[in-house]
Amino acid sequence: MSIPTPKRPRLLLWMGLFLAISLDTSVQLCWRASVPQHGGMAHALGATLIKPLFLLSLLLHVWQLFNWMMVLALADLSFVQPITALSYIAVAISSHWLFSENLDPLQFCGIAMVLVGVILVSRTPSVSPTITDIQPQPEGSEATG
Amino acid sequence: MNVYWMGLLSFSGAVALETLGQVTMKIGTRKMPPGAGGILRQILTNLWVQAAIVSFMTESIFWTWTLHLMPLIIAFPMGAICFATVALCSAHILKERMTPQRWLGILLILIGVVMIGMKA
Repeated sequence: MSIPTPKRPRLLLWMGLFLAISLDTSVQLCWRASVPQHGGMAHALGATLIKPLFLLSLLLHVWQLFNWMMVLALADLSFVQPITALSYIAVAISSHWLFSENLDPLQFCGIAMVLVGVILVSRTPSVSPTITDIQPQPEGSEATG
Repeated sequence: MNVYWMGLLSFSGAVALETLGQVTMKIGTRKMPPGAGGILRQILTNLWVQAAIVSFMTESIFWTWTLHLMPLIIAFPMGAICFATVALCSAHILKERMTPQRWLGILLILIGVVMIGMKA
């Protein structure tokens, strides 16, 4: 029995990864907004909207689950999971904008390292030969990442 | 048992469950068509997927408990160890092809995440 394959698996994979990172970031920021520790308008707003935010974060979790399952069906775990580290960068930068949290030099270094690391991982083949559930692209295109 | 050991234990549980969840979820989605119908069917019928979901839910309990016992500024960068555990399990359990470039990338990401998490 053959498994139906998506027409453009790489595009779907990267769309899924983008969504996974966006959802990760949103969930993190929702959570931070609902813990009123520092100043910033987003914190104050979050503190007054805890109940709807909680419901929103539940919905986001369900969406994350579905999306993550799709992403895992398309590529190696050791390919996709490190790439989700981009959400740490998005959260750090968003926290700076929304919650007035300053970024120190160590964090800038960390951001740069994560970026380089993600680029390195993304340029490895996304599917291992032993896991051939989704038919790979025509020969040669897989090696170019 | 003092609170630091409890925190470390709880943290270890969270990391173990995250790793377990990711690996079992990967196993469960191996032969899955990536459309929404296929996903729903897997959630309802595939034991690996169900085990992964239970793992993730239990993990959030452990993680909440860890944050109760340990400040975020310590727990958060420590969480970067998940990148290492998942990578090791991918190599040895899932038998994924791990090139030196991928290992290096993951190492840089791990160090980078720790640095982002450690605010001065």
